[in-house]
Amino acid sequence: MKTAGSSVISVRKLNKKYQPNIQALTEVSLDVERGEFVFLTGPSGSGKSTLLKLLYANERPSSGQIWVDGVEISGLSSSQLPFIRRKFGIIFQDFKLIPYQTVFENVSLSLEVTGLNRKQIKNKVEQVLDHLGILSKTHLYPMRLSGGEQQRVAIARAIVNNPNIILADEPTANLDAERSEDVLSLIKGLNQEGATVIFATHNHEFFKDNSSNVYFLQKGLLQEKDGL
Amino acid sequence: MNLGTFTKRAIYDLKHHFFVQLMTTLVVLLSVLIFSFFLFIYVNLASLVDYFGSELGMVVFLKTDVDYTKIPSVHQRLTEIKGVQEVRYYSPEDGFRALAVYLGDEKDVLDGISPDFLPSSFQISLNRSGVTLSSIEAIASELLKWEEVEKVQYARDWVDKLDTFTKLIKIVAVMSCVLLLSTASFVVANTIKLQVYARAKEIEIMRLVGATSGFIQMPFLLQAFAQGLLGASLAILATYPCYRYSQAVLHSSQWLKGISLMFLPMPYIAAIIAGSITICVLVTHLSLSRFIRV
Repeated sequence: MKTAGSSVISVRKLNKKYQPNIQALTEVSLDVERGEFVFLTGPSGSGKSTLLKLLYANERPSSGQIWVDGVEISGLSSSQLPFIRRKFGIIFQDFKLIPYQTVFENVSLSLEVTGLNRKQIKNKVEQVLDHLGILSKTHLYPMRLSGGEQQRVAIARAIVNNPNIILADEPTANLDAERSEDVLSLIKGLNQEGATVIFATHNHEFFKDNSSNVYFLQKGLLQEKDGL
Repeated sequence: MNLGTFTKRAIYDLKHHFFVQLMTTLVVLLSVLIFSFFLFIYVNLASLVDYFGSELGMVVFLKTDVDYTKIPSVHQRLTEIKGVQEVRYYSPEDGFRALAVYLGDEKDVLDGISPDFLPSSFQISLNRSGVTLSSIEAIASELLKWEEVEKVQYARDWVDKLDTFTKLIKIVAVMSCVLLLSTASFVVANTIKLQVYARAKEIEIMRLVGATSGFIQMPFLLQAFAQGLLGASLAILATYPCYRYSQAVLHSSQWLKGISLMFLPMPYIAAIIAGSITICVLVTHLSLSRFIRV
Protein backbone atom coordinates (compact mmCIF):
# COMPACT_ATOMS: atom_id res chain seq x y z
CA MET A 1 0.00 0.00 0.00
CA LYS A 2 1.19 3.49 -0.77
CA THR A 3 2.12 5.62 2.18
CA ALA A 4 0.20 8.70 3.22
CA GLY A 5 3.28 10.83 2.54
CA SER A 6 3.58 10.11 -1.19
CA SER A 7 -0.07 10.71 -2.15
CA VAL A 8 -1.91 13.98 -2.66
CA ILE A 9 -4.94 12.38 -1.02
CA SER A 10 -4.71 9.54 1.41
CA VAL A 11 -7.58 8.01 3.33
CA ARG A 12 -7.19 5.43 6.08
CA LYS A 13 -9.90 3.31 7.69
CA LEU A 14 -12.49 5.99 7.18
CA ASN A 15 -15.89 5.49 8.75
CA LYS A 16 -18.90 7.75 8.55
CA LYS A 17 -22.01 7.03 10.52
CA TYR A 18 -25.13 9.20 10.46
CA GLN A 19 -27.64 9.20 13.26
CA PRO A 20 -29.55 7.19 14.24
CA ASN A 21 -27.77 4.19 12.75
CA ILE A 22 -26.82 4.67 9.12
CA GLN A 23 -23.34 3.50 8.20
CA ALA A 24 -22.50 5.57 5.09
CA LEU A 25 -18.85 4.52 4.79
CA THR A 26 -17.05 1.54 6.31
CA GLU A 27 -13.29 1.25 6.70
CA VAL A 28 -12.57 3.11 3.46
CA SER A 29 -8.91 3.42 2.52
CA LEU A 30 -7.76 5.17 -0.64
CA ASP A 31 -4.63 6.77 -2.08
CA VAL A 32 -4.62 9.20 -4.97
CA GLU A 33 -1.31 10.19 -6.53
CA ARG A 34 -0.55 13.70 -7.74
CA GLY A 35 -1.81 14.17 -11.31
CA GLU A 36 -3.91 11.00 -11.19
CA PHE A 37 -7.45 10.76 -12.65
CA VAL A 38 -9.67 8.57 -10.49
CA PHE A 39 -13.24 7.52 -11.18
CA LEU A 40 -15.43 6.83 -8.19
CA THR A 41 -18.51 4.89 -9.09
CA GLY A 42 -21.32 2.97 -7.50
CA PRO A 43 -25.10 3.06 -7.25
CA SER A 44 -27.05 5.95 -5.74
CA GLY A 45 -26.69 6.01 -1.99
CA SER A 46 -23.48 3.98 -2.03
CA GLY A 47 -21.51 6.79 -0.33
CA LYS A 48 -19.76 8.55 -3.26
CA SER A 49 -20.92 12.05 -2.28
CA THR A 50 -20.27 11.33 1.39
CA LEU A 51 -16.66 10.37 0.61
CA LEU A 52 -16.16 13.55 -1.41
CA LYS A 53 -17.76 15.66 1.34
CA LEU A 54 -15.35 14.16 3.84
CA LEU A 55 -12.43 14.95 1.52
CA TYR A 56 -13.30 18.64 1.25
CA ALA A 57 -14.19 18.74 4.95
CA ASN A 58 -17.86 19.51 4.51
CA GLU A 59 -18.47 16.59 6.84
CA ARG A 60 -16.38 15.22 9.70
CA PRO A 61 -15.54 11.51 9.77
CA SER A 62 -16.79 9.30 12.58
CA SER A 63 -13.34 7.69 12.64
CA GLY A 64 -10.30 7.30 10.42
CA GLN A 65 -7.81 9.73 8.88
CA ILE A 66 -7.71 11.87 5.75
CA TRP A 67 -4.50 13.46 4.48
CA VAL A 68 -4.62 16.19 1.87
CA ASP A 69 -1.23 17.31 0.57
CA GLY A 70 0.32 15.75 3.66
CA VAL A 71 -2.01 17.48 6.11
CA GLU A 72 -4.26 15.37 8.30
CA ILE A 73 -7.53 17.27 8.00
CA SER A 74 -9.89 15.39 10.31
CA GLY A 75 -8.18 16.97 13.31
CA LEU A 76 -8.13 20.53 11.98
CA SER A 77 -10.06 23.31 13.68
CA SER A 78 -12.95 25.09 11.91
CA SER A 79 -10.80 28.14 11.30
CA GLN A 80 -8.22 26.06 9.40
CA LEU A 81 -10.68 24.26 7.12
CA PRO A 82 -11.23 27.11 4.60
CA PHE A 83 -7.53 27.00 3.71
CA ILE A 84 -7.72 23.26 3.03
CA ARG A 85 -10.83 23.76 0.86
CA ARG A 86 -8.90 26.22 -1.31
CA LYS A 87 -6.73 23.32 -2.43
CA PHE A 88 -9.84 21.82 -4.03
CA GLY A 89 -11.90 22.78 -7.03
CA ILE A 90 -15.32 21.28 -6.49
CA ILE A 91 -17.83 20.64 -9.26
CA PHE A 92 -21.37 19.66 -8.32
CA GLN A 93 -24.16 17.83 -10.07
CA ASP A 94 -26.54 20.76 -9.46
CA PHE A 95 -23.88 23.35 -10.42
CA LYS A 96 -24.47 25.37 -7.21
CA LEU A 97 -24.42 28.73 -8.96
CA ILE A 98 -25.79 31.83 -7.21
CA PRO A 99 -28.79 32.78 -9.34
CA TYR A 100 -28.70 36.52 -8.63
CA GLN A 101 -25.04 36.87 -9.50
CA THR A 102 -23.63 37.08 -13.01
CA VAL A 103 -21.26 34.51 -14.49
CA PHE A 104 -18.35 36.83 -13.65
CA GLU A 105 -19.48 37.28 -10.04
CA ASN A 106 -20.06 33.55 -9.55
CA VAL A 107 -16.60 32.68 -10.82
CA SER A 108 -14.83 35.54 -9.05
CA LEU A 109 -16.11 34.34 -5.66
CA SER A 110 -13.38 31.67 -5.54
CA LEU A 111 -10.75 34.39 -5.90
CA GLU A 112 -12.38 36.98 -3.63
CA VAL A 113 -12.08 34.64 -0.66
CA THR A 114 -8.32 34.43 -1.20
CA GLY A 115 -7.92 38.20 -0.98
CA LEU A 116 -6.87 39.02 -4.56
CA ASN A 117 -7.55 42.57 -5.75
CA ARG A 118 -10.18 43.47 -8.35
CA LYS A 119 -7.72 43.73 -11.21
CA GLN A 120 -6.15 40.34 -10.54
CA ILE A 121 -9.60 38.81 -10.20
CA LYS A 122 -10.80 40.33 -13.48
CA ASN A 123 -7.76 39.06 -15.37
CA LYS A 124 -7.97 35.53 -13.98
CA VAL A 125 -11.74 35.20 -14.41
CA GLU A 126 -11.67 36.42 -18.02
CA GLN A 127 -8.78 34.10 -18.74
CA VAL A 128 -10.59 31.03 -17.43
CA LEU A 129 -13.91 31.95 -19.06
CA ASP A 130 -12.09 32.36 -22.35
CA HIS A 131 -10.38 28.99 -21.85
CA LEU A 132 -13.78 27.34 -21.32
CA GLY A 133 -15.37 29.17 -24.26
CA ILE A 134 -17.91 31.18 -22.29
CA LEU A 135 -16.27 34.61 -22.21
CA SER A 136 -19.22 36.06 -24.14
CA LYS A 137 -21.51 35.00 -21.26
CA THR A 138 -19.58 37.01 -18.65
CA HIS A 139 -22.38 39.37 -17.71
CA LEU A 140 -25.29 36.96 -18.01
CA TYR A 141 -27.12 35.42 -15.07
CA PRO A 142 -27.08 31.60 -14.74
CA MET A 143 -30.78 31.31 -15.61
CA ARG A 144 -30.01 32.66 -19.07
CA LEU A 145 -27.57 29.82 -19.78
CA SER A 146 -28.09 26.24 -20.94
CA GLY A 147 -27.31 23.34 -18.59
CA GLY A 148 -23.97 22.71 -20.32
CA GLU A 149 -23.03 26.37 -20.08
CA GLN A 150 -24.00 26.48 -16.40
CA GLN A 151 -21.75 23.48 -15.74
CA ARG A 152 -18.92 25.24 -17.57
CA VAL A 153 -19.42 28.23 -15.25
CA ALA A 154 -19.27 25.86 -12.28
CA ILE A 155 -16.08 24.32 -13.68
CA ALA A 156 -14.66 27.81 -14.22
CA ARG A 157 -15.35 28.65 -10.58
CA ALA A 158 -13.73 25.39 -9.51
CA ILE A 159 -10.50 25.89 -11.49
CA VAL A 160 -10.02 29.67 -11.50
CA ASN A 161 -7.98 29.40 -8.31
CA ASN A 162 -5.61 26.82 -9.87
CA PRO A 163 -6.45 24.11 -7.32
CA ASN A 164 -4.25 21.04 -6.94
CA ILE A 165 -7.23 18.73 -6.77
CA ILE A 166 -10.55 18.68 -8.60
CA LEU A 167 -13.45 16.85 -7.01
CA ALA A 168 -16.33 16.32 -9.40
CA ASP A 169 -19.48 15.03 -7.77
CA GLU A 170 -21.54 13.56 -10.63
CA PRO A 171 -21.04 16.70 -12.73
CA THR A 172 -22.75 15.20 -15.77
CA ALA A 173 -25.83 13.78 -14.08
CA ASN A 174 -28.05 16.63 -15.25
CA LEU A 175 -26.61 16.86 -18.76
CA ASP A 176 -27.38 15.05 -22.02
CA ALA A 177 -24.85 12.60 -23.50
CA GLU A 178 -23.19 15.16 -25.78
CA ARG A 179 -22.78 17.76 -23.00
CA SER A 180 -21.58 15.04 -20.62
CA GLU A 181 -18.78 14.03 -22.99
CA ASP A 182 -17.95 17.69 -23.38
CA VAL A 183 -17.64 18.18 -19.60
CA LEU A 184 -15.61 14.97 -19.21
CA SER A 185 -13.15 16.00 -21.90
CA LEU A 186 -12.82 19.43 -20.25
CA ILE A 187 -11.97 17.83 -16.92
CA LYS A 188 -9.58 15.37 -18.59
CA GLY A 189 -7.92 18.38 -20.17
CA LEU A 190 -7.45 19.93 -16.73
CA ASN A 191 -5.97 16.63 -15.53
CA GLN A 192 -3.49 16.70 -18.40
CA GLU A 193 -2.52 20.21 -17.29
CA GLY A 194 -1.52 18.72 -13.93
CA ALA A 195 -4.62 18.66 -11.73
CA THR A 196 -5.46 15.58 -9.70
CA VAL A 197 -9.07 14.57 -10.36
CA ILE A 198 -11.58 12.45 -8.47
CA PHE A 199 -14.64 12.06 -10.66
CA ALA A 200 -17.73 10.54 -9.08
CA THR A 201 -20.19 9.11 -11.60
CA HIS A 202 -22.39 6.14 -12.28
CA ASN A 203 -21.96 6.47 -16.01
CA HIS A 204 -19.90 3.37 -16.89
CA GLU A 205 -19.31 4.64 -20.43
CA PHE A 206 -16.81 7.13 -19.04
CA PHE A 207 -14.30 4.53 -17.90
CA LYS A 208 -14.88 1.76 -20.40
CA ASP A 209 -11.48 2.44 -22.04
CA ASN A 210 -9.97 1.59 -18.64
CA SER A 211 -7.36 4.34 -18.93
CA SER A 212 -7.99 5.56 -15.39
CA ASN A 213 -8.19 4.10 -11.91
CA VAL A 214 -11.73 3.20 -11.04
CA TYR A 215 -13.01 2.72 -7.50
CA PHE A 216 -16.34 1.14 -6.81
CA LEU A 217 -18.42 1.94 -3.76
CA GLN A 218 -21.15 -0.42 -2.66
CA LYS A 219 -23.04 0.15 0.59
CA GLY A 220 -20.18 2.20 1.94
CA LEU A 221 -17.46 -0.32 1.10
CA LEU A 222 -14.76 0.68 -1.39
CA GLN A 223 -13.14 -1.65 -3.90
CA GLU A 224 -10.86 -1.07 -6.86
CA LYS A 225 -12.65 -1.97 -10.10
CA ASP A 226 -9.88 -4.42 -11.05
CA GLY A 227 -10.51 -6.29 -7.90
CA LEU A 228 -14.21 -6.77 -8.57
CA MET B 1 -9.58 41.24 1.38
CA ASN B 2 -9.69 44.90 2.36
CA LEU B 3 -12.51 46.89 3.93
CA GLY B 4 -13.34 48.56 0.60
CA THR B 5 -14.10 45.21 -1.00
CA PHE B 6 -16.18 44.14 1.99
CA THR B 7 -18.07 47.43 1.83
CA LYS B 8 -18.77 46.89 -1.88
CA ARG B 9 -20.02 43.42 -1.07
CA ALA B 10 -22.19 44.76 1.77
CA ILE B 11 -23.70 47.39 -0.56
CA TYR B 12 -24.23 44.72 -3.19
CA ASP B 13 -26.02 42.53 -0.62
CA LEU B 14 -27.99 45.55 0.55
CA LYS B 15 -29.29 46.14 -2.97
CA HIS B 16 -30.15 42.50 -3.55
CA HIS B 17 -31.89 42.04 -0.19
CA PHE B 18 -33.22 45.56 0.13
CA PHE B 19 -36.61 44.73 1.62
CA VAL B 20 -35.24 42.54 4.43
CA GLN B 21 -32.58 45.15 5.21
CA LEU B 22 -35.20 47.90 5.24
CA MET B 23 -37.40 45.94 7.63
CA THR B 24 -34.48 45.36 10.03
CA THR B 25 -33.57 49.04 9.94
CA LEU B 26 -37.21 49.97 10.63
CA VAL B 27 -37.31 47.64 13.64
CA VAL B 28 -34.13 49.22 15.01
CA LEU B 29 -35.53 52.69 14.29
CA LEU B 30 -38.80 52.01 16.09
CA SER B 31 -37.11 50.43 19.10
CA VAL B 32 -34.66 53.30 19.48
CA LEU B 33 -37.45 55.81 18.86
CA ILE B 34 -39.58 54.41 21.68
CA PHE B 35 -36.60 54.28 24.01
CA SER B 36 -35.48 57.81 23.05
CA PHE B 37 -39.00 59.04 23.71
CA PHE B 38 -39.00 57.53 27.22
CA LEU B 39 -35.53 58.89 27.82
CA PHE B 40 -36.62 62.34 26.64
CA ILE B 41 -39.53 62.27 29.11
CA TYR B 42 -37.27 61.03 31.91
CA VAL B 43 -34.55 63.62 31.31
CA ASN B 44 -37.06 66.46 31.30
CA LEU B 45 -39.10 65.25 34.26
CA ALA B 46 -35.95 64.71 36.29
CA SER B 47 -34.85 68.20 35.36
CA LEU B 48 -38.28 69.61 36.32
CA VAL B 49 -38.22 67.77 39.64
CA ASP B 50 -34.84 69.26 40.46
CA TYR B 51 -36.03 72.67 39.30
CA PHE B 52 -39.06 72.58 41.59
CA GLY B 53 -37.04 71.04 44.41
CA SER B 54 -34.56 73.91 44.42
CA GLU B 55 -37.39 76.44 44.05
CA LEU B 56 -38.78 75.27 47.39
CA GLY B 57 -35.98 76.65 49.49
CA MET B 58 -36.08 76.31 53.30
CA VAL B 59 -36.63 78.27 56.47
CA VAL B 60 -34.27 77.89 59.43
CA PHE B 61 -35.79 78.87 62.82
CA LEU B 62 -33.38 79.75 65.58
CA LYS B 63 -33.97 79.05 69.24
CA THR B 64 -35.82 81.92 70.98
CA ASP B 65 -33.09 82.21 73.59
CA VAL B 66 -30.31 82.44 71.01
CA ASP B 67 -27.62 85.01 71.70
CA TYR B 68 -28.25 87.79 69.16
CA THR B 69 -24.53 88.46 68.82
CA LYS B 70 -24.22 85.03 67.22
CA ILE B 71 -26.69 85.80 64.41
CA PRO B 72 -24.12 87.36 62.01
CA SER B 73 -21.89 84.31 62.35
CA VAL B 74 -24.87 81.98 61.75
CA HIS B 75 -25.70 84.07 58.68
CA GLN B 76 -22.11 83.75 57.47
CA ARG B 77 -22.02 79.98 58.04
CA LEU B 78 -25.32 79.57 56.18
CA THR B 79 -24.03 81.42 53.13
CA GLU B 80 -20.94 79.18 53.09
CA ILE B 81 -23.03 76.02 52.66
CA LYS B 82 -22.60 74.50 49.20
CA GLY B 83 -25.74 74.99 47.10
CA VAL B 84 -27.03 77.98 49.08
CA GLN B 85 -27.65 80.95 46.86
CA GLU B 86 -29.11 83.56 49.15
CA VAL B 87 -29.73 83.88 52.88
CA ARG B 88 -32.13 86.46 54.23
CA TYR B 89 -32.50 87.17 57.96
CA TYR B 90 -35.95 87.72 59.53
CA SER B 91 -35.92 89.17 63.06
CA PRO B 92 -38.79 88.48 65.50
CA GLU B 93 -40.06 91.99 64.62
CA ASP B 94 -40.07 91.12 60.91
CA GLY B 95 -41.94 87.98 61.74
CA PHE B 96 -44.39 89.88 63.90
CA ARG B 97 -45.12 92.35 61.09
CA ALA B 98 -45.60 89.52 58.61
CA LEU B 99 -47.97 87.82 61.06
CA ALA B 100 -49.97 91.01 61.43
CA VAL B 101 -50.28 91.30 57.64
CA TYR B 102 -51.32 87.67 57.47
CA LEU B 103 -54.02 88.17 60.15
CA GLY B 104 -55.43 91.21 58.37
CA ASP B 105 -58.57 92.45 60.17
CA GLU B 106 -57.86 90.04 63.02
CA LYS B 107 -54.49 91.58 63.81
CA ASP B 108 -55.93 93.08 66.99
CA VAL B 109 -55.34 89.73 68.68
CA LEU B 110 -51.65 90.67 68.70
CA ASP B 111 -52.25 93.78 70.77
CA GLY B 112 -50.16 93.79 73.91
CA ILE B 113 -48.02 90.87 72.77
CA SER B 114 -44.30 91.36 72.44
CA PRO B 115 -42.63 90.11 69.19
CA ASP B 116 -40.10 88.26 71.35
CA PHE B 117 -42.24 85.12 71.42
CA LEU B 118 -41.39 84.62 67.76
CA PRO B 119 -38.03 83.09 66.85
CA SER B 120 -35.48 84.68 64.55
CA SER B 121 -35.31 82.89 61.23
CA PHE B 122 -33.37 82.66 57.97
CA GLN B 123 -35.02 82.25 54.58
CA ILE B 124 -32.66 80.24 52.35
CA SER B 125 -32.79 80.15 48.54
CA LEU B 126 -30.92 77.33 46.84
CA ASN B 127 -28.97 77.25 43.62
CA ARG B 128 -30.98 75.65 40.80
CA SER B 129 -27.95 74.01 39.33
CA GLY B 130 -26.10 71.46 41.37
CA VAL B 131 -28.76 71.08 44.06
CA THR B 132 -30.71 67.85 44.08
CA LEU B 133 -33.57 66.69 46.22
CA SER B 134 -31.28 64.52 48.30
CA SER B 135 -28.87 67.41 48.86
CA ILE B 136 -31.74 69.53 50.25
CA GLU B 137 -32.42 66.80 52.79
CA ALA B 138 -28.72 66.58 53.62
CA ILE B 139 -28.51 70.36 54.20
CA ALA B 140 -31.59 70.27 56.45
CA SER B 141 -30.28 67.45 58.61
CA GLU B 142 -26.88 69.15 58.89
CA LEU B 143 -28.50 72.42 60.04
CA LEU B 144 -30.47 70.63 62.74
CA LYS B 145 -27.17 69.71 64.37
CA TRP B 146 -26.30 73.39 64.94
CA GLU B 147 -26.87 74.45 68.56
CA GLU B 148 -28.57 77.74 67.52
CA VAL B 149 -31.09 76.00 65.27
CA GLU B 150 -34.48 74.99 66.64
CA LYS B 151 -36.18 73.80 63.50
CA VAL B 152 -35.68 73.57 59.75
CA GLN B 153 -38.78 73.80 57.65
CA TYR B 154 -39.07 72.83 54.03
CA ALA B 155 -41.73 71.07 52.05
CA ARG B 156 -40.50 67.66 53.09
CA ASP B 157 -43.58 65.84 51.83
CA TRP B 158 -43.27 67.54 48.51
CA VAL B 159 -39.61 66.75 48.27
CA ASP B 160 -40.19 63.13 49.24
CA LYS B 161 -42.99 62.75 46.70
CA LEU B 162 -40.98 64.39 43.96
CA ASP B 163 -37.99 62.24 44.83
CA THR B 164 -40.08 59.06 44.73
CA PHE B 165 -41.60 60.15 41.42
CA THR B 166 -38.16 60.73 39.91
CA LYS B 167 -37.02 57.30 41.04
CA LEU B 168 -40.17 55.76 39.55
CA ILE B 169 -39.57 57.46 36.21
CA LYS B 170 -36.00 56.27 36.27
CA ILE B 171 -37.12 52.67 36.88
CA VAL B 172 -39.65 52.93 34.03
CA ALA B 173 -36.96 54.31 31.72
CA VAL B 174 -34.49 51.58 32.65
CA MET B 175 -37.14 48.86 32.32
CA SER B 176 -38.30 50.19 28.97
CA CYS B 177 -34.67 50.28 27.88
CA VAL B 178 -34.13 46.63 28.88
CA LEU B 179 -37.41 45.49 27.32
CA LEU B 180 -36.85 47.39 24.09
CA LEU B 181 -33.26 46.21 23.83
CA SER B 182 -34.43 42.63 24.31
CA THR B 183 -37.19 43.07 21.74
CA ALA B 184 -34.88 44.75 19.23
CA SER B 185 -32.20 42.08 19.79
CA PHE B 186 -34.77 39.33 19.32
CA VAL B 187 -36.10 40.87 16.11
CA VAL B 188 -32.63 41.61 14.73
CA ALA B 189 -31.54 38.04 15.56
CA ASN B 190 -34.58 36.64 13.79
CA THR B 191 -34.13 38.90 10.81
CA ILE B 192 -30.53 37.74 10.55
CA LYS B 193 -31.77 34.16 10.82
CA LEU B 194 -34.18 34.81 7.94
CA GLN B 195 -31.40 36.43 5.92
CA VAL B 196 -29.12 33.48 6.57
CA TYR B 197 -31.87 31.08 5.51
CA ALA B 198 -32.63 33.18 2.43
CA ARG B 199 -28.95 33.15 1.53
CA ALA B 200 -28.19 29.61 2.67
CA LYS B 201 -27.15 28.55 -0.82
CA GLU B 202 -24.83 31.51 -1.28
CA ILE B 203 -23.27 30.96 2.14
CA GLU B 204 -22.87 27.25 1.43
CA ILE B 205 -21.07 28.04 -1.83
CA MET B 206 -18.84 30.57 -0.09
CA ARG B 207 -17.83 27.91 2.43
CA LEU B 208 -17.11 25.40 -0.30
CA VAL B 209 -14.83 27.75 -2.21
CA GLY B 210 -12.82 28.34 0.97
CA ALA B 211 -14.36 31.43 2.54
CA THR B 212 -13.40 32.00 6.16
CA SER B 213 -15.97 32.77 8.82
CA GLY B 214 -14.81 36.39 8.81
CA PHE B 215 -15.26 36.67 5.03
CA ILE B 216 -18.83 35.35 5.28
CA GLN B 217 -19.70 37.46 8.32
CA MET B 218 -18.11 40.77 7.37
CA PRO B 219 -20.78 42.02 4.89
CA PHE B 220 -23.49 41.09 7.42
CA LEU B 221 -21.60 42.93 10.17
CA LEU B 222 -21.14 46.02 8.01
CA GLN B 223 -24.84 45.97 7.20
CA ALA B 224 -25.61 45.62 10.91
CA PHE B 225 -23.34 48.59 11.63
CA ALA B 226 -25.17 50.65 9.01
CA GLN B 227 -28.57 49.54 10.32
CA GLY B 228 -27.66 50.43 13.91
CA LEU B 229 -26.26 53.81 12.88
CA LEU B 230 -29.10 54.67 10.51
CA GLY B 231 -31.89 53.37 12.76
CA ALA B 232 -30.64 55.23 15.85
CA SER B 233 -29.84 58.46 13.98
CA LEU B 234 -33.26 58.58 12.32
CA ALA B 235 -34.97 57.79 15.63
CA ILE B 236 -33.18 60.68 17.35
CA LEU B 237 -34.01 62.98 14.45
CA ALA B 238 -37.65 61.91 14.80
CA THR B 239 -37.58 62.74 18.53
CA TYR B 240 -36.51 66.31 17.78
CA PRO B 241 -39.90 67.46 16.37
CA CYS B 242 -41.54 66.06 19.54
CA TYR B 243 -39.19 68.22 21.60
CA ARG B 244 -39.96 71.33 19.51
CA TYR B 245 -43.68 70.69 19.71
CA SER B 246 -43.63 70.15 23.51
CA GLN B 247 -41.54 73.30 23.89
CA ALA B 248 -44.07 75.29 21.89
CA VAL B 249 -46.97 73.92 23.97
CA LEU B 250 -45.19 74.90 27.21
CA HIS B 251 -44.43 78.40 25.95
CA SER B 252 -48.03 78.96 24.98
CA SER B 253 -49.22 77.95 28.46
CA GLN B 254 -49.61 80.74 31.01
CA TRP B 255 -48.93 78.34 33.87
CA LEU B 256 -45.84 76.58 32.54
CA LYS B 257 -44.26 79.50 30.70
CA GLY B 258 -41.15 79.61 32.88
CA ILE B 259 -40.31 75.98 32.35
CA SER B 260 -37.90 75.16 29.58
CA LEU B 261 -37.50 71.66 28.11
CA MET B 262 -34.18 70.24 27.04
CA PHE B 263 -33.44 67.91 24.12
CA LEU B 264 -31.47 64.74 24.77
CA PRO B 265 -27.95 65.79 25.86
CA MET B 266 -25.13 65.03 23.43
CA PRO B 267 -23.55 62.28 25.61
CA TYR B 268 -26.96 60.54 25.68
CA ILE B 269 -27.29 60.81 21.89
CA ALA B 270 -23.78 59.43 21.40
CA ALA B 271 -24.52 56.59 23.85
CA ILE B 272 -27.80 55.72 22.09
CA ILE B 273 -26.13 55.58 18.66
CA ALA B 274 -23.13 53.64 19.98
CA GLY B 275 -25.45 51.28 21.88
CA SER B 276 -27.63 50.71 18.84
CA ILE B 277 -24.61 49.91 16.65
CA THR B 278 -23.11 47.63 19.31
CA ILE B 279 -26.36 45.72 19.79
CA CYS B 280 -26.91 45.27 16.05
CA VAL B 281 -23.33 44.13 15.39
CA LEU B 282 -23.16 41.90 18.46
CA VAL B 283 -26.53 40.21 17.86
CA THR B 284 -25.64 39.73 14.18
CA HIS B 285 -22.29 38.19 15.08
CA LEU B 286 -23.84 35.87 17.66
CA SER B 287 -26.63 34.83 15.29
CA LEU B 288 -24.20 34.21 12.44
CA SER B 289 -21.88 32.21 14.67
CA ARG B 290 -24.86 30.10 15.60
CA PHE B 291 -26.28 29.60 12.12
CA ILE B 292 -23.19 29.54 9.94
CA ARG B 293 -21.10 26.44 10.17
CA VAL B 294 -17.63 26.76 8.69
